[in-house]
Amino acid sequence: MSESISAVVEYTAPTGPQFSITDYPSTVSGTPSETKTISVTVANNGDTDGDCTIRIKDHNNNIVAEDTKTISAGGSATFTLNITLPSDIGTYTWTIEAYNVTNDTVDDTKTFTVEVTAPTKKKGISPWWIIPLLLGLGYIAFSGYKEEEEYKE
Amino acid sequence: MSLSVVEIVRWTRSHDTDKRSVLTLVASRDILYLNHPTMGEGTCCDYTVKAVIDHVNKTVSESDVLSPTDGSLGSGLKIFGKNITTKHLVGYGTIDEPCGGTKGLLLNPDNTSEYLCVDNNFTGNFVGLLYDPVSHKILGGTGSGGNRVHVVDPDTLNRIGYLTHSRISERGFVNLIPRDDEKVFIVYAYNKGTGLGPLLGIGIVDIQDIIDNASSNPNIDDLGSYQQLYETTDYNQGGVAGNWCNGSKIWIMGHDGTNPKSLLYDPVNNTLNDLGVVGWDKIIYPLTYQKWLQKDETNKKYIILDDDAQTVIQEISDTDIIYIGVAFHFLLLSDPSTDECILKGLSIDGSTVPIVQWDLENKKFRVIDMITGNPISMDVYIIWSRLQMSYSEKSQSIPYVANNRISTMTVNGWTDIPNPPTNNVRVLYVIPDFLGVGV
Repeated sequence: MSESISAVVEYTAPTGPQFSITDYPSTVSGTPSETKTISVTVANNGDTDGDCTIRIKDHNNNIVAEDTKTISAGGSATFTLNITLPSDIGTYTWTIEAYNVTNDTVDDTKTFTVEVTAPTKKKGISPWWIIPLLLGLGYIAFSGYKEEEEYKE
Repeated sequence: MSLSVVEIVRWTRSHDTDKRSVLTLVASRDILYLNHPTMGEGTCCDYTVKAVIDHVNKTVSESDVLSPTDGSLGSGLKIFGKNITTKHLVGYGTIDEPCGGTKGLLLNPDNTSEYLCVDNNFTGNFVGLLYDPVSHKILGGTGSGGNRVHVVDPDTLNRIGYLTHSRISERGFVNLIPRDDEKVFIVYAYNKGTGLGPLLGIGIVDIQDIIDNASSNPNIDDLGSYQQLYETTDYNQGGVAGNWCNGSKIWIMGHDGTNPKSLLYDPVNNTLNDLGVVGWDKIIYPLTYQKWLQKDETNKKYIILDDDAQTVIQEISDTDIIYIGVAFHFLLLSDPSTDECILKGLSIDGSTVPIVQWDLENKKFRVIDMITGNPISMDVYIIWSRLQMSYSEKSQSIPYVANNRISTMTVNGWTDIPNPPTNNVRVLYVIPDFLGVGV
Protein backbone atom coordinates (compact mmCIF):
# COMPACT_ATOMS: atom_id res chain seq x y z
CA MET A 1 0.00 0.00 0.00
CA SER A 2 1.15 3.49 -0.70
CA GLU A 3 -0.14 7.00 -0.97
CA SER A 4 -0.51 9.14 -4.07
CA ILE A 5 -3.00 11.53 -5.62
CA SER A 6 -3.25 9.25 -8.67
CA ALA A 7 -2.69 5.64 -9.65
CA VAL A 8 -2.62 3.66 -12.87
CA VAL A 9 -5.33 1.04 -12.61
CA GLU A 10 -6.32 -1.96 -14.66
CA TYR A 11 -8.93 -1.80 -17.34
CA THR A 12 -11.37 -4.64 -17.63
CA ALA A 13 -13.03 -4.90 -20.98
CA PRO A 14 -16.76 -4.55 -20.51
CA THR A 15 -18.78 -7.69 -20.89
CA GLY A 16 -21.25 -7.72 -23.74
CA PRO A 17 -21.43 -9.25 -27.18
CA GLN A 18 -18.24 -10.92 -28.39
CA PHE A 19 -18.17 -12.15 -31.98
CA SER A 20 -16.07 -14.82 -33.65
CA ILE A 21 -16.12 -16.01 -37.25
CA THR A 22 -16.80 -19.73 -37.24
CA ASP A 23 -17.28 -20.59 -40.93
CA TYR A 24 -16.07 -18.89 -44.09
CA PRO A 25 -14.65 -19.87 -47.49
CA SER A 26 -10.93 -20.51 -47.63
CA THR A 27 -10.79 -19.79 -51.36
CA VAL A 28 -13.05 -18.03 -53.84
CA SER A 29 -12.24 -18.60 -57.52
CA GLY A 30 -13.58 -16.98 -60.62
CA THR A 31 -12.92 -14.96 -63.70
CA PRO A 32 -12.10 -11.25 -63.88
CA SER A 33 -14.89 -8.99 -62.53
CA GLU A 34 -17.13 -11.96 -61.86
CA THR A 35 -19.66 -11.61 -59.03
CA LYS A 36 -19.54 -14.38 -56.44
CA THR A 37 -21.67 -15.07 -53.39
CA ILE A 38 -20.00 -16.13 -50.17
CA SER A 39 -21.33 -17.18 -46.77
CA VAL A 40 -19.83 -16.21 -43.42
CA THR A 41 -21.07 -17.59 -40.13
CA VAL A 42 -20.56 -15.61 -36.91
CA ALA A 43 -21.09 -16.73 -33.31
CA ASN A 44 -21.83 -14.38 -30.40
CA ASN A 45 -19.83 -15.76 -27.46
CA GLY A 46 -20.70 -12.81 -25.20
CA ASP A 47 -23.34 -12.51 -22.55
CA THR A 48 -25.65 -10.03 -24.26
CA ASP A 49 -27.24 -9.66 -27.67
CA GLY A 50 -25.46 -7.35 -30.05
CA ASP A 51 -25.06 -6.07 -33.58
CA CYS A 52 -22.29 -7.49 -35.72
CA THR A 53 -21.16 -6.06 -39.02
CA ILE A 54 -19.30 -8.39 -41.36
CA ARG A 55 -16.96 -6.48 -43.62
CA ILE A 56 -15.16 -7.94 -46.61
CA LYS A 57 -11.96 -6.05 -47.40
CA ASP A 58 -10.01 -6.52 -50.63
CA HIS A 59 -6.25 -6.69 -51.06
CA ASN A 60 -6.09 -2.89 -50.95
CA ASN A 61 -7.99 -2.84 -47.64
CA ASN A 62 -11.07 -1.35 -49.26
CA ILE A 63 -14.43 -2.53 -47.97
CA VAL A 64 -16.10 -4.29 -50.89
CA ALA A 65 -19.11 -5.74 -49.07
CA GLU A 66 -20.71 -5.49 -45.63
CA ASP A 67 -23.83 -6.47 -43.80
CA THR A 68 -25.10 -6.08 -40.23
CA LYS A 69 -27.16 -8.51 -38.18
CA THR A 70 -28.28 -8.69 -34.57
CA ILE A 71 -27.02 -11.90 -33.01
CA SER A 72 -28.40 -13.12 -29.72
CA ALA A 73 -26.07 -14.06 -26.87
CA GLY A 74 -24.84 -17.60 -27.45
CA GLY A 75 -26.34 -17.63 -30.93
CA SER A 76 -24.95 -17.39 -34.41
CA ALA A 77 -25.93 -16.02 -37.80
CA THR A 78 -24.93 -16.59 -41.40
CA PHE A 79 -24.19 -13.61 -43.58
CA THR A 80 -24.54 -13.93 -47.36
CA LEU A 81 -22.55 -11.36 -49.27
CA ASN A 82 -21.88 -10.69 -52.93
CA ILE A 83 -18.38 -9.77 -53.96
CA THR A 84 -16.98 -8.73 -57.30
CA LEU A 85 -13.65 -10.30 -58.11
CA PRO A 86 -10.70 -8.20 -59.34
CA SER A 87 -10.51 -7.42 -63.05
CA ASP A 88 -6.96 -8.70 -63.34
CA ILE A 89 -5.91 -12.31 -63.34
CA GLY A 90 -4.02 -13.28 -60.21
CA THR A 91 -4.16 -14.58 -56.64
CA TYR A 92 -5.19 -12.20 -53.86
CA THR A 93 -5.64 -12.26 -50.07
CA TRP A 94 -8.85 -10.69 -48.81
CA THR A 95 -10.05 -10.17 -45.24
CA ILE A 96 -13.25 -10.80 -43.33
CA GLU A 97 -13.80 -8.63 -40.23
CA ALA A 98 -16.39 -9.14 -37.53
CA TYR A 99 -16.99 -5.60 -36.22
CA ASN A 100 -18.71 -5.30 -32.84
CA VAL A 101 -21.04 -2.31 -33.16
CA THR A 102 -21.76 -2.19 -29.44
CA ASN A 103 -18.17 -2.14 -28.25
CA ASP A 104 -16.70 -0.37 -31.29
CA THR A 105 -14.13 -3.12 -31.68
CA VAL A 106 -13.10 -5.62 -34.33
CA ASP A 107 -13.61 -8.91 -32.50
CA ASP A 108 -12.32 -11.35 -35.14
CA THR A 109 -10.49 -11.31 -38.45
CA LYS A 110 -10.02 -14.05 -41.04
CA THR A 111 -8.40 -14.10 -44.45
CA PHE A 112 -9.29 -16.01 -47.60
CA THR A 113 -7.73 -16.45 -51.02
CA VAL A 114 -9.23 -14.98 -54.16
CA GLU A 115 -8.10 -16.67 -57.39
CA VAL A 116 -8.88 -14.93 -60.65
CA THR A 117 -8.22 -16.98 -63.80
CA ALA A 118 -8.81 -16.49 -67.49
CA PRO A 119 -12.20 -17.56 -68.84
CA THR A 120 -12.22 -21.21 -70.05
CA LYS A 121 -12.62 -21.63 -73.96
CA LYS A 122 -15.77 -23.32 -75.32
CA LYS A 123 -15.37 -26.96 -76.42
CA GLY A 124 -15.97 -27.84 -80.15
CA ILE A 125 -14.23 -28.25 -83.51
CA SER A 126 -11.64 -25.67 -83.89
CA PRO A 127 -10.71 -24.55 -87.40
CA TRP A 128 -7.05 -24.37 -86.53
CA TRP A 129 -6.24 -27.44 -88.62
CA ILE A 130 -7.50 -25.82 -91.85
CA ILE A 131 -4.46 -23.64 -92.27
CA PRO A 132 -1.81 -26.40 -92.10
CA LEU A 133 -4.07 -28.57 -94.27
CA LEU A 134 -4.24 -25.90 -96.94
CA LEU A 135 -0.53 -25.29 -96.67
CA GLY A 136 0.12 -29.02 -96.99
CA LEU A 137 -2.09 -29.37 -100.05
CA GLY A 138 -0.51 -26.35 -101.60
CA TYR A 139 2.95 -27.73 -101.02
CA ILE A 140 2.07 -31.07 -102.54
CA ALA A 141 0.54 -29.41 -105.56
CA PHE A 142 3.44 -27.07 -106.01
CA SER A 143 6.04 -29.82 -105.60
CA GLY A 144 4.36 -32.00 -108.25
CA TYR A 145 4.27 -29.13 -110.77
CA LYS A 146 7.97 -28.55 -110.38
CA GLU A 147 8.72 -32.20 -110.87
CA GLU A 148 6.79 -32.20 -114.11
CA GLU A 149 8.80 -29.28 -115.34
CA GLU A 150 12.03 -31.05 -114.45
CA TYR A 151 11.00 -34.15 -116.34
CA LYS A 152 10.24 -32.02 -119.33
CA GLU A 153 13.85 -30.94 -119.45
CA MET B 1 -18.11 24.39 5.64
CA SER B 2 -15.19 26.00 7.41
CA LEU B 3 -11.74 24.74 6.61
CA SER B 4 -8.64 24.94 8.75
CA VAL B 5 -4.96 24.23 8.42
CA VAL B 6 -3.42 21.54 10.61
CA GLU B 7 0.23 21.03 11.45
CA ILE B 8 1.62 17.63 10.52
CA VAL B 9 5.23 17.99 11.69
CA ARG B 10 7.89 20.67 12.21
CA TRP B 11 11.66 20.37 12.18
CA THR B 12 14.90 22.23 11.47
CA ARG B 13 16.10 21.63 7.93
CA SER B 14 19.50 20.03 7.50
CA HIS B 15 20.98 22.88 5.44
CA ASP B 16 21.31 26.50 6.41
CA THR B 17 20.24 28.34 3.28
CA ASP B 18 18.77 31.79 2.77
CA LYS B 19 15.80 30.93 0.61
CA ARG B 20 12.47 29.20 1.17
CA SER B 21 12.23 25.41 0.84
CA VAL B 22 10.41 23.79 -2.05
CA LEU B 23 7.96 20.89 -1.66
CA THR B 24 9.29 18.83 -4.54
CA LEU B 25 7.25 15.64 -4.01
CA VAL B 26 4.97 14.15 -1.39
CA ALA B 27 6.04 10.59 -2.17
CA SER B 28 3.98 8.87 0.52
CA ARG B 29 2.56 9.49 3.99
CA ASP B 30 6.04 9.49 5.50
CA ILE B 31 8.44 10.42 2.68
CA LEU B 32 8.94 13.86 1.18
CA TYR B 33 11.49 15.15 -1.31
CA LEU B 34 12.42 18.78 -0.68
CA ASN B 35 14.72 21.38 -2.11
CA HIS B 36 16.55 23.86 0.11
CA PRO B 37 17.94 26.48 -2.30
CA THR B 38 20.35 29.34 -1.87
CA MET B 39 19.58 32.81 -3.18
CA GLY B 40 21.13 33.72 -6.52
CA GLU B 41 21.58 31.76 -9.69
CA GLY B 42 24.85 29.88 -9.67
CA THR B 43 25.37 30.51 -5.98
CA CYS B 44 26.36 27.37 -4.12
CA CYS B 45 24.41 25.36 -3.13
CA ASP B 46 20.90 24.09 -3.67
CA TYR B 47 20.19 20.93 -1.69
CA THR B 48 17.70 18.30 -2.70
CA VAL B 49 16.94 16.07 0.28
CA LYS B 50 14.82 13.09 1.21
CA ALA B 51 12.82 13.77 4.36
CA VAL B 52 11.47 10.81 6.32
CA ILE B 53 8.66 11.67 8.72
CA ASP B 54 8.28 9.85 12.04
CA HIS B 55 4.66 10.64 12.78
CA VAL B 56 4.79 9.01 16.22
CA ASN B 57 7.70 11.02 17.53
CA LYS B 58 6.95 14.05 15.39
CA THR B 59 10.41 14.20 13.87
CA VAL B 60 11.85 14.44 10.38
CA SER B 61 15.14 12.95 9.28
CA GLU B 62 16.70 14.51 6.19
CA SER B 63 19.36 12.90 3.98
CA ASP B 64 21.07 14.51 1.00
CA VAL B 65 20.09 13.46 -2.48
CA LEU B 66 21.99 15.99 -4.58
CA SER B 67 23.84 19.24 -3.88
CA PRO B 68 24.82 20.98 -7.11
CA THR B 69 26.04 24.56 -7.30
CA ASP B 70 22.54 25.53 -8.35
CA GLY B 71 19.80 23.02 -8.79
CA SER B 72 16.19 23.75 -8.30
CA LEU B 73 14.75 20.23 -8.41
CA GLY B 74 11.22 21.32 -7.68
CA SER B 75 9.26 19.01 -9.95
CA GLY B 76 8.39 15.57 -8.68
CA LEU B 77 6.71 12.51 -10.11
CA LYS B 78 5.71 9.23 -8.54
CA ILE B 79 5.14 6.56 -11.17
CA PHE B 80 2.64 4.37 -9.44
CA GLY B 81 0.23 1.73 -10.63
CA LYS B 82 -0.88 -1.85 -10.96
CA ASN B 83 1.88 -3.97 -12.54
CA ILE B 84 4.15 -0.91 -12.67
CA THR B 85 7.27 -0.61 -10.54
CA THR B 86 6.94 2.42 -8.30
CA LYS B 87 9.55 5.03 -9.13
CA HIS B 88 10.23 8.53 -7.88
CA LEU B 89 11.70 11.16 -10.16
CA VAL B 90 12.66 14.77 -9.55
CA GLY B 91 13.51 17.28 -12.20
CA TYR B 92 14.21 20.80 -13.31
CA GLY B 93 17.67 22.17 -14.04
CA THR B 94 21.09 22.38 -12.48
CA ILE B 95 24.36 24.22 -12.79
CA ASP B 96 27.43 21.98 -12.55
CA GLU B 97 26.80 18.65 -10.85
CA PRO B 98 25.97 16.11 -12.01
CA CYS B 99 25.78 17.19 -15.66
CA GLY B 100 28.38 19.91 -15.87
CA GLY B 101 27.45 23.37 -17.10
CA THR B 102 23.86 24.44 -17.24
CA LYS B 103 21.60 21.53 -18.03
CA GLY B 104 18.15 20.18 -17.58
CA LEU B 105 18.18 17.29 -15.14
CA LEU B 106 15.86 14.37 -14.46
CA LEU B 107 17.02 12.32 -11.50
CA ASN B 108 16.00 9.22 -9.58
CA PRO B 109 16.37 10.47 -5.99
CA ASP B 110 16.47 6.90 -4.69
CA ASN B 111 19.43 6.04 -6.95
CA THR B 112 21.34 9.16 -7.89
CA SER B 113 23.54 7.30 -10.36
CA GLU B 114 20.44 7.17 -12.52
CA TYR B 115 19.88 10.52 -14.18
CA LEU B 116 19.40 12.26 -17.49
CA CYS B 117 21.05 15.51 -18.56
CA VAL B 118 19.56 17.40 -21.47
CA ASP B 119 20.46 20.41 -23.56
CA ASN B 120 22.49 23.50 -22.86
CA ASN B 121 21.85 27.10 -21.90
CA PHE B 122 18.40 26.59 -20.48
CA THR B 123 16.83 25.36 -23.72
CA GLY B 124 15.58 22.34 -21.87
CA ASN B 125 14.69 21.52 -18.30
CA PHE B 126 12.03 19.48 -16.58
CA VAL B 127 8.81 20.70 -15.05
CA GLY B 128 5.30 19.43 -15.62
CA LEU B 129 6.37 15.80 -15.20
CA LEU B 130 3.77 13.35 -16.46
CA TYR B 131 3.74 9.58 -16.85
CA ASP B 132 1.94 7.93 -19.76
CA PRO B 133 1.21 4.28 -18.91
CA VAL B 134 -0.04 3.57 -22.43
CA SER B 135 3.40 4.09 -23.97
CA HIS B 136 5.30 3.66 -20.68
CA LYS B 137 7.02 7.01 -21.24
CA ILE B 138 7.57 10.17 -19.23
CA LEU B 139 6.57 13.49 -20.73
CA GLY B 140 8.45 16.46 -19.35
CA GLY B 141 7.41 20.00 -20.04
CA THR B 142 9.70 22.94 -19.48
CA GLY B 143 9.65 25.81 -17.03
CA SER B 144 11.19 29.25 -17.43
CA GLY B 145 14.38 27.88 -18.94
CA GLY B 146 13.24 25.81 -21.84
CA ASN B 147 11.47 25.38 -25.10
CA ARG B 148 11.20 21.62 -25.30
CA VAL B 149 8.90 18.80 -24.30
CA HIS B 150 10.99 15.74 -23.53
CA VAL B 151 9.93 12.10 -23.98
CA VAL B 152 11.87 9.77 -21.70
CA ASP B 153 12.01 6.03 -21.01
CA PRO B 154 11.42 5.72 -17.24
CA ASP B 155 13.35 2.45 -16.96
CA THR B 156 16.62 3.68 -18.45
CA LEU B 157 16.09 7.45 -18.26
CA ASN B 158 17.14 7.63 -21.89
CA ARG B 159 15.52 10.43 -23.81
CA ILE B 160 13.54 9.07 -26.75
CA GLY B 161 13.27 12.49 -28.29
CA TYR B 162 11.92 15.98 -27.81
CA LEU B 163 9.52 18.42 -29.38
CA THR B 164 9.55 22.18 -29.62
CA HIS B 165 6.93 24.75 -30.47
CA SER B 166 7.75 26.69 -33.62
CA ARG B 167 6.84 29.93 -31.86
CA ILE B 168 9.30 29.36 -29.00
CA SER B 169 12.88 29.25 -30.16
CA GLU B 170 14.65 30.17 -26.94
CA ARG B 171 13.95 30.40 -23.24
CA GLY B 172 10.37 30.20 -22.23
CA PHE B 173 8.06 27.41 -21.33
CA VAL B 174 6.40 24.72 -23.36
CA ASN B 175 4.39 22.92 -20.75
CA LEU B 176 1.76 20.23 -20.57
CA ILE B 177 -1.64 20.17 -18.87
CA PRO B 178 -3.34 16.75 -18.61
CA ARG B 179 -6.97 16.18 -19.58
CA ASP B 180 -9.57 13.49 -18.97
CA ASP B 181 -8.95 12.00 -22.43
CA GLU B 182 -6.05 11.17 -24.73
CA LYS B 183 -5.17 14.78 -25.48
CA VAL B 184 -2.99 17.27 -23.64
CA PHE B 185 -2.93 21.06 -23.52
CA ILE B 186 0.29 22.74 -24.62
CA VAL B 187 0.92 26.07 -22.91
CA TYR B 188 3.81 28.08 -24.30
CA ALA B 189 5.31 31.50 -23.69
CA TYR B 190 8.53 33.41 -24.05
CA ASN B 191 10.60 34.16 -21.00
CA LYS B 192 10.60 37.88 -20.37
CA GLY B 193 14.36 37.77 -19.92
CA THR B 194 14.99 36.74 -23.52
CA GLY B 195 13.89 40.08 -24.89
CA LEU B 196 11.74 38.14 -27.35
CA GLY B 197 8.02 38.32 -27.53
CA PRO B 198 5.80 39.03 -25.71
CA LEU B 199 4.08 35.86 -26.72
CA LEU B 200 1.84 33.43 -24.89
CA GLY B 201 -0.32 30.73 -26.40
CA ILE B 202 -2.24 27.53 -25.85
CA GLY B 203 -2.85 24.55 -28.10
CA ILE B 204 -4.01 20.98 -27.84
CA VAL B 205 -2.53 17.79 -29.26
CA ASP B 206 -2.93 14.00 -29.10
CA ILE B 207 -0.56 12.37 -26.61
CA GLN B 208 0.08 9.48 -29.00
CA ASP B 209 1.16 11.94 -31.67
CA ILE B 210 3.81 13.29 -29.28
CA ILE B 211 5.04 9.79 -28.46
CA ASP B 212 5.10 8.63 -32.08
CA ASN B 213 7.02 11.62 -33.41
CA ALA B 214 9.35 12.62 -30.57
CA SER B 215 12.34 10.81 -32.04
CA SER B 216 12.44 13.16 -35.05
CA ASN B 217 12.29 16.26 -32.82
CA PRO B 218 9.46 18.04 -34.62
CA ASN B 219 7.54 21.16 -33.71
CA ILE B 220 4.52 20.18 -31.66
CA ASP B 221 2.40 22.50 -33.78
CA ASP B 222 3.43 20.62 -36.91
CA LEU B 223 1.89 17.40 -35.60
CA GLY B 224 -1.22 16.34 -37.44
CA SER B 225 -3.43 16.40 -34.37
CA TYR B 226 -2.30 19.82 -33.10
CA GLN B 227 -4.96 22.50 -32.79
CA GLN B 228 -4.03 26.07 -32.01
CA LEU B 229 -6.50 27.49 -29.51
CA TYR B 230 -5.29 30.86 -28.32
CA GLU B 231 -2.36 33.21 -28.75
CA THR B 232 -1.63 36.70 -27.54
CA THR B 233 1.24 39.15 -27.84
CA ASP B 234 0.13 40.96 -24.69
CA TYR B 235 2.04 38.76 -22.27
CA ASN B 236 5.27 36.93 -21.61
CA GLN B 237 5.83 34.16 -19.13
CA GLY B 238 5.86 35.53 -15.61
CA GLY B 239 8.30 33.14 -14.07
CA VAL B 240 8.97 29.61 -12.98
CA ALA B 241 5.71 29.47 -11.04
CA GLY B 242 4.42 27.91 -14.21
CA ASN B 243 0.92 27.04 -15.19
CA TRP B 244 -1.59 24.53 -13.87
CA CYS B 245 -5.18 23.43 -14.04
CA ASN B 246 -7.95 23.00 -11.47
CA GLY B 247 -9.90 20.69 -13.77
CA SER B 248 -11.84 23.60 -15.18
CA LYS B 249 -9.50 26.54 -15.89
CA ILE B 250 -5.77 26.97 -16.50
CA TRP B 251 -3.89 29.48 -14.35
CA ILE B 252 -0.79 31.06 -15.85
CA MET B 253 1.65 33.44 -14.29
CA GLY B 254 2.19 35.90 -17.11
CA HIS B 255 3.99 39.21 -17.42
CA ASP B 256 2.80 42.32 -19.25
CA GLY B 257 6.24 43.91 -19.49
CA THR B 258 5.78 45.85 -16.29
CA ASN B 259 4.33 43.45 -13.75
CA PRO B 260 3.74 39.75 -13.27
CA LYS B 261 0.09 39.02 -13.95
CA SER B 262 -2.38 36.41 -12.82
CA LEU B 263 -3.94 35.02 -16.00
CA LEU B 264 -6.82 32.57 -16.22
CA TYR B 265 -7.54 30.65 -19.42
CA ASP B 266 -11.06 29.33 -19.89
CA PRO B 267 -11.05 26.45 -22.44
CA VAL B 268 -14.83 26.53 -22.81
CA ASN B 269 -14.98 30.14 -23.97
CA ASN B 270 -11.38 30.23 -25.26
CA THR B 271 -10.70 33.41 -23.31
CA LEU B 272 -7.75 34.61 -21.26
CA ASN B 273 -8.74 36.81 -18.34
CA ASP B 274 -6.23 39.18 -16.78
CA LEU B 275 -6.89 39.06 -13.04
CA GLY B 276 -4.37 41.74 -12.20
CA VAL B 277 -0.92 42.03 -10.75
CA VAL B 278 0.27 39.06 -8.74
CA GLY B 279 3.44 38.91 -6.70
CA TRP B 280 5.60 35.93 -5.92
CA ASP B 281 4.10 35.94 -2.47
CA LYS B 282 0.59 35.42 -3.83
CA ILE B 283 0.81 32.59 -6.33
CA ILE B 284 -2.37 30.62 -7.03
CA TYR B 285 -2.39 26.79 -7.04
CA PRO B 286 -5.02 24.12 -7.84
CA LEU B 287 -6.74 22.83 -4.71
CA THR B 288 -9.67 20.71 -5.78
CA TYR B 289 -12.00 20.60 -8.77
CA GLN B 290 -13.03 24.16 -9.69
CA LYS B 291 -11.29 25.64 -6.64
CA TRP B 292 -7.93 27.32 -6.10
CA LEU B 293 -5.65 27.90 -3.13
CA GLN B 294 -3.79 31.20 -3.11
CA LYS B 295 -0.94 31.72 -0.73
CA ASP B 296 -0.45 35.15 0.80
CA GLU B 297 2.93 35.26 2.48
CA THR B 298 2.84 39.01 3.05
CA ASN B 299 -0.41 38.92 4.98
CA LYS B 300 0.25 35.46 6.49
CA LYS B 301 -2.84 33.71 5.22
CA TYR B 302 -4.21 31.15 2.80
CA ILE B 303 -7.05 32.21 0.51
CA ILE B 304 -9.45 29.66 -0.94
CA LEU B 305 -10.79 30.92 -4.25
CA ASP B 306 -13.68 29.85 -6.43
CA ASP B 307 -13.28 28.72 -10.04
CA ASP B 308 -12.85 32.29 -11.29
CA ALA B 309 -9.71 32.64 -9.12
CA GLN B 310 -11.16 35.86 -7.76
CA THR B 311 -14.16 35.10 -5.57
CA VAL B 312 -12.94 34.47 -2.05
CA ILE B 313 -14.57 31.50 -0.35
CA GLN B 314 -12.53 31.57 2.82
CA GLU B 315 -9.36 33.03 4.27
CA ILE B 316 -7.28 31.21 6.86
CA SER B 317 -4.68 33.13 8.85
CA ASP B 318 -1.46 31.49 10.00
CA THR B 319 1.15 33.34 12.03
CA ASP B 320 3.73 30.61 11.24
CA ILE B 321 3.86 31.77 7.63
CA ILE B 322 7.11 33.24 6.41
CA TYR B 323 7.31 31.42 3.07
CA ILE B 324 5.05 28.69 1.74
CA GLY B 325 5.47 25.93 -0.82
CA VAL B 326 2.18 24.39 -1.97
CA ALA B 327 1.33 21.00 -3.47
CA PHE B 328 -2.46 20.83 -3.65
CA HIS B 329 -3.57 20.87 0.02
CA PHE B 330 -0.08 20.19 1.42
CA LEU B 331 1.80 23.25 2.65
CA LEU B 332 5.51 23.50 3.39
CA LEU B 333 6.30 26.53 5.53
CA SER B 334 9.91 27.58 5.92
CA ASP B 335 11.81 30.33 7.65
CA PRO B 336 15.29 30.98 6.21
CA SER B 337 16.32 32.93 9.31
CA THR B 338 15.81 29.94 11.61
CA ASP B 339 15.80 27.08 9.04
CA GLU B 340 12.60 25.85 10.59
CA CYS B 341 10.29 23.87 8.30
CA ILE B 342 6.67 23.03 9.05
CA LEU B 343 4.54 20.65 7.01
CA LYS B 344 0.87 21.50 7.25
CA GLY B 345 -2.26 20.43 5.46
CA LEU B 346 -5.77 21.63 4.80
CA SER B 347 -8.37 19.97 7.02
CA ILE B 348 -12.13 19.71 7.03
CA ASP B 349 -12.45 18.68 10.69
CA GLY B 350 -9.66 20.65 12.30
CA SER B 351 -7.58 17.62 13.19
CA THR B 352 -6.98 15.37 10.16
CA VAL B 353 -5.20 15.96 6.84
CA PRO B 354 -6.41 13.66 4.07
CA ILE B 355 -4.13 11.67 1.81
CA VAL B 356 -5.24 8.95 -0.60
CA GLN B 357 -3.97 5.42 0.07
CA TRP B 358 -4.06 2.68 -2.55
CA ASP B 359 -4.25 -1.12 -2.34
CA LEU B 360 -3.84 -1.92 -6.00
CA GLU B 361 -3.57 -5.68 -5.45
CA ASN B 362 -7.11 -5.70 -4.16
CA LYS B 363 -8.26 -2.87 -6.46
CA LYS B 364 -9.21 -0.57 -3.60
CA PHE B 365 -8.43 2.88 -2.24
CA ARG B 366 -9.31 4.86 0.85
CA VAL B 367 -8.62 8.22 2.43
CA ILE B 368 -6.44 8.23 5.53
CA ASP B 369 -5.22 10.88 7.91
CA MET B 370 -1.67 11.90 7.05
CA ILE B 371 -0.89 12.30 10.74
CA THR B 372 -2.26 9.10 12.28
CA GLY B 373 -2.73 6.84 9.29
CA ASN B 374 -6.29 6.19 10.39
CA PRO B 375 -9.02 6.01 7.73
CA ILE B 376 -11.28 9.02 7.46
CA SER B 377 -14.60 9.51 5.75
CA MET B 378 -14.61 12.17 3.09
CA ASP B 379 -16.19 13.23 -0.17
CA VAL B 380 -13.82 13.00 -3.10
CA TYR B 381 -13.78 13.73 -6.78
CA ILE B 382 -12.61 10.95 -9.03
CA ILE B 383 -11.27 12.05 -12.39
CA TRP B 384 -9.78 9.91 -15.18
CA SER B 385 -6.83 10.77 -17.35
CA ARG B 386 -4.29 9.15 -19.65
CA LEU B 387 -1.47 10.94 -17.80
CA GLN B 388 -0.29 10.65 -14.22
CA MET B 389 0.77 13.60 -12.05
CA SER B 390 1.75 13.79 -8.40
CA TYR B 391 1.65 15.93 -5.27
CA SER B 392 4.43 18.29 -6.35
CA GLU B 393 4.99 22.01 -6.01
CA LYS B 394 6.13 22.78 -9.55
CA SER B 395 4.31 20.00 -11.31
CA GLN B 396 0.69 19.87 -10.24
CA SER B 397 -2.58 19.89 -12.09
CA ILE B 398 -6.00 18.35 -11.87
CA PRO B 399 -6.83 16.90 -15.31
CA TYR B 400 -9.02 19.21 -17.33
CA VAL B 401 -12.49 17.71 -17.49
CA ALA B 402 -13.41 17.85 -21.17
CA ASN B 403 -15.45 14.67 -21.42
CA ASN B 404 -17.32 14.58 -18.12
CA ARG B 405 -15.05 11.81 -16.81
CA ILE B 406 -15.55 13.05 -13.29
CA SER B 407 -17.80 11.97 -10.44
CA THR B 408 -18.06 12.39 -6.70
CA MET B 409 -18.34 9.77 -4.00
CA THR B 410 -18.16 9.53 -0.26
CA VAL B 411 -15.22 7.37 0.75
CA ASN B 412 -15.58 5.60 4.07
CA GLY B 413 -12.92 2.93 4.38
CA TRP B 414 -11.66 0.74 1.56
CA THR B 415 -13.53 1.53 -1.63
CA ASP B 416 -13.54 -0.39 -4.91
CA ILE B 417 -11.59 1.21 -7.72
CA PRO B 418 -14.07 1.77 -10.55
CA ASN B 419 -13.40 0.46 -14.04
CA PRO B 420 -11.67 3.02 -16.27
CA PRO B 421 -13.63 4.46 -19.20
CA THR B 422 -11.17 3.03 -21.73
CA ASN B 423 -7.97 1.03 -21.75
CA ASN B 424 -6.04 4.19 -22.66
CA VAL B 425 -7.60 6.45 -20.03
CA ARG B 426 -6.93 4.55 -16.82
CA VAL B 427 -5.09 6.89 -14.48
CA LEU B 428 -7.44 7.58 -11.59
CA TYR B 429 -7.11 10.82 -9.64
CA VAL B 430 -8.78 10.90 -6.22
CA ILE B 431 -9.05 14.50 -5.08
CA PRO B 432 -10.51 15.47 -1.71
CA ASP B 433 -13.59 17.62 -2.09
CA PHE B 434 -12.85 20.09 0.70
CA LEU B 435 -15.80 22.28 -0.10
CA GLY B 436 -18.61 19.77 -0.50
CA VAL B 437 -19.71 21.00 -3.88
CA GLY B 438 -21.03 18.26 -6.12
CA VAL B 439 -20.49 18.01 -9.85
